[in-house]
Amino acid sequence: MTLDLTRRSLLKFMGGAVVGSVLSPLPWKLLDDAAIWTQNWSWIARPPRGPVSHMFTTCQLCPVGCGMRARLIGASFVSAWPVVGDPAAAGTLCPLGLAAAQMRYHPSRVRGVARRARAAADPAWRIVDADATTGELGQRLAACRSRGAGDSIAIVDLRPGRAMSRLYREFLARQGGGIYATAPDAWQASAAAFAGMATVGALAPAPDPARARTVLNFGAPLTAGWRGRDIVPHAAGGPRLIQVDPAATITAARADRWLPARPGSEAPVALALAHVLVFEALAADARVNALADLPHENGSTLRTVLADFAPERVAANSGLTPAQLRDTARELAAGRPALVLGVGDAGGGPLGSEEEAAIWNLNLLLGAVGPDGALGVRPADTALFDEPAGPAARSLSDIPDGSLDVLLVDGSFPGVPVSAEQLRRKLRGPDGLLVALSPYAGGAAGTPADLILPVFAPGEWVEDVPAPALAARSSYSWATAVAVPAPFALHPAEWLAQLEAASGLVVPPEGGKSGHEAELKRRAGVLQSRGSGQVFDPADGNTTDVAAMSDPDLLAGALARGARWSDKATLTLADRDVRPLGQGGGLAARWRSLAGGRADAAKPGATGSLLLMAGGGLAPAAGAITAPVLNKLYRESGLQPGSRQLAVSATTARALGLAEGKSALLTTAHGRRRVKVRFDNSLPPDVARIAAGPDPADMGDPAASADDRTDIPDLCGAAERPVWRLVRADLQEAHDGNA
Amino acid sequence: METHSKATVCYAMVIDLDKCVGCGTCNVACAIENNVSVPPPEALENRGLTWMRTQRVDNGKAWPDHRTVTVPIPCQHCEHAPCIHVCPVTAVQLDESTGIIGQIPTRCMGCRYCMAACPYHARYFNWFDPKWPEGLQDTLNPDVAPRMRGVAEKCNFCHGRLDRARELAAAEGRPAAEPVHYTPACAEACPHGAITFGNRLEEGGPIAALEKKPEAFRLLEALGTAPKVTYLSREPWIRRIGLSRLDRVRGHGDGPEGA
Repeated sequence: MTLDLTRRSLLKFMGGAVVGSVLSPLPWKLLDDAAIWTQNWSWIARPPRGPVSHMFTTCQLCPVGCGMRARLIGASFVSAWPVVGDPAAAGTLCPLGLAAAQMRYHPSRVRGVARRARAAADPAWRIVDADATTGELGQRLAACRSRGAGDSIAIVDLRPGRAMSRLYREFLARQGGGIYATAPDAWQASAAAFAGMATVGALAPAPDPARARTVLNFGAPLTAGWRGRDIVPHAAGGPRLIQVDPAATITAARADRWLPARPGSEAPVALALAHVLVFEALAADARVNALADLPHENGSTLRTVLADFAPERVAANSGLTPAQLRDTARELAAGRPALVLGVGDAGGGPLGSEEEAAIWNLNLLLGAVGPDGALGVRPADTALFDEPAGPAARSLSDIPDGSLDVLLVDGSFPGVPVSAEQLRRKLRGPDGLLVALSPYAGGAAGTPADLILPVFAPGEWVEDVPAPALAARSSYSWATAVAVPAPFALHPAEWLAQLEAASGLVVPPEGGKSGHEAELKRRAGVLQSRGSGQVFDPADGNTTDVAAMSDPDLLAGALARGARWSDKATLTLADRDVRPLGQGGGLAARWRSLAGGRADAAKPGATGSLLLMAGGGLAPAAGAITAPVLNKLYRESGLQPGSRQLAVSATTARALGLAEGKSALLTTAHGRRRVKVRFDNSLPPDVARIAAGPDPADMGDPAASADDRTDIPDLCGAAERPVWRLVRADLQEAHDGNA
Repeated sequence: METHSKATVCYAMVIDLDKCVGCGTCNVACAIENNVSVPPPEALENRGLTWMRTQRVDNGKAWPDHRTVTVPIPCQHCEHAPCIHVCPVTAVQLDESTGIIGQIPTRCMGCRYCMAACPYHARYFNWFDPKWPEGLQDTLNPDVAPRMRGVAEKCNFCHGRLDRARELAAAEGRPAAEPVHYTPACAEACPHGAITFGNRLEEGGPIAALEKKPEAFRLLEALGTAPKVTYLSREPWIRRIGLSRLDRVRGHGDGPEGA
């Protein structure tokens, strides 16, 4: 046999090799490798690597302060998860909290002291020298002090009750009478209305739906909100729920009784129910009669005032029938212990002191306050922590416009519905300086600011979290530092001490970062010395009585590990300590002025074919800074309405010549805003709703324009009126194509 | 209900629509757990990736009779998954040992046949390179690799968590054949307890009990895909969401409420 190598055999071999290689795993391997290679391109994000560990902390993104389990990869805080058994929110987290790890890297985070000249042609933020800016600000403070105008300096604390809040007050006292102000949200305003009816100070209402057989709820999304997860459905053994709500919301649909009252009619509806309770003697006992007949300064009593609110008179303006009102009052009386909740849709700002007072009176008439009721009373934070008297807290709306030279706004809490216009109006002309202590160039503090001090983002420092307003129990926890602070970020207390030194004062030992830490420990010590309450340990889910803690530093150590102290509502409120018509007088007259509904919406001369309701729905608050991943809720899925979407019923929209998705201009007496029309047949005719929540424009929506930038509170007149959730509006098609 | 005869584990999910309020927590938890990227600002709104889509459905009536429900729709992990059959590169596979329909991005060539075949619109395409705002890559989950541009992706019942549970079981010395229990991110995060996840083959387990409830239904059941995601509702108009158009033509539905 000879080897006869011909050209033909060579070609055959080569052909066979090619065919064979195609049939072999080689090309598939090449394809696979190529695909894997494309995963490793330099521009594709790489997750962090390292040992996995967990830390426990408290969420700082809304006042509820839910327990949070932070997952760390190496030193990177990568995600947050709920803590099973945590008493704050039944061991749950909302989407805001779940995305907390992203807040450190939010695109709007300020990476240095930033300044802008609002009057300039280019009002863009510019990074400036931190020391020079602090020095300049200190000289301003010194100048105010030297001319005896300490009250032209103010700090607005958007999250009062913290250790930092006390440092602010002490700082202002040393500046010669500076103003410490708060901007109460809907929950805080409701609690303040209750406290305003009591003649003994420093207390807070603690409604507990779990102790009620019947709950009457004025508009709050109790079963559908990010803050309403603690009400158990009646079918599962919870209380019967009666929902007063203009719209066919999820909560209304799931309630055992739905009262579709007209927007703005909360006060007359509550007073009509109280009328039935008193005049039909449904809840009559000695206590109730004493409350109803308690004479006030002008001689009037609750009974005489309620005489004007018979269901037959209220029905016409409330959209409800007299029978509905009477039946509801009877159901409440028969279903005691009953609880009546106000607040409403908190995203639209406070409900109104008149409405809240009427609602709290319903609770008093139903005997909700007391050992057998569902409305407890707990000490206010200042009383809980034995705080010495400092400058009294004032409401932002009480500061005269044009009176401030320097206004500092604590924006460490990004989700408070505050009017940017209202903050700017407090300044004394163009020379007034609005300084935000905020990690972000946006939100309630950053949006109107001239100067931003880049303080720590949530999770970068230890801060305390007091109980939210209207919580059923007192509580206290620390948001621990689960992430390495950004190198450019400042500790607010440390910067405040630098500012004080720059203003020519000697910084006392209780100032600065060490002072803040000392105050945190002092608070823990106060709670432990009281000896009441329990501590929940998130690591093992166990609860320990404080009384069993022997070492005085044990509670502080537990708080530093993410534990939560809580205590039941321990105070009692005697009948003699309550003034149903308030302490300052005038409430009866204000109620009568609201007999036809919220006057701001229905006043003569108010124009607009639509009644516009501002609200949060499931959204947190106007101007809130939210994590980029929430884009999936607001923009990609449309699950959450952004503040450029106007919900209106299809019938109403078509009557205005508008189709779904059309771009339209929404005009009120206070401003205008470009919106996209969204059909929502849960709304009654001639009523529109806009979310005062985050603007998708802040999440990178390129369609934003100047018309979109009007904040919802300002569109609804929040700079001029304390209650802005309802306003008359007009809607017209925008003739520049679809949005 | 069909299951694999040899398997001892078949993971399934039950979503109680009467508890769901549409808060979107499942949506966000899923995105964070699985490194689902945020599309660039200039992207069209329908180019986003949402493994757990939430669809709002109403009863078609006007106020005051209007009612809405939010339906979370992950991949239904069908027993007879159309996406498997149409994939030309076997990038979609049924894991016989778990019942999970897996998507293998390194095999996917981006033809999107699977997206066209899926009757639940539960598959998404990476139109863009997965990018996060500066620094945000430090918050990614190292258990799940980011996918590249040009491939399809979908819910995989948090396979990364399943792997972790298996590693833990192995470390504890449990036999490999023993079923492991784990919870996907959406079920862990749901604040209302609307999502239940588990092994439907576990006798006396919660999934088997829930799937037998009279208010249980599946989406587009008439198509015969046999989804492993079951929905619950006591409301008849909500249960009619599960009907396909074919059912309505045959007279099982009744107009807009069944739509």
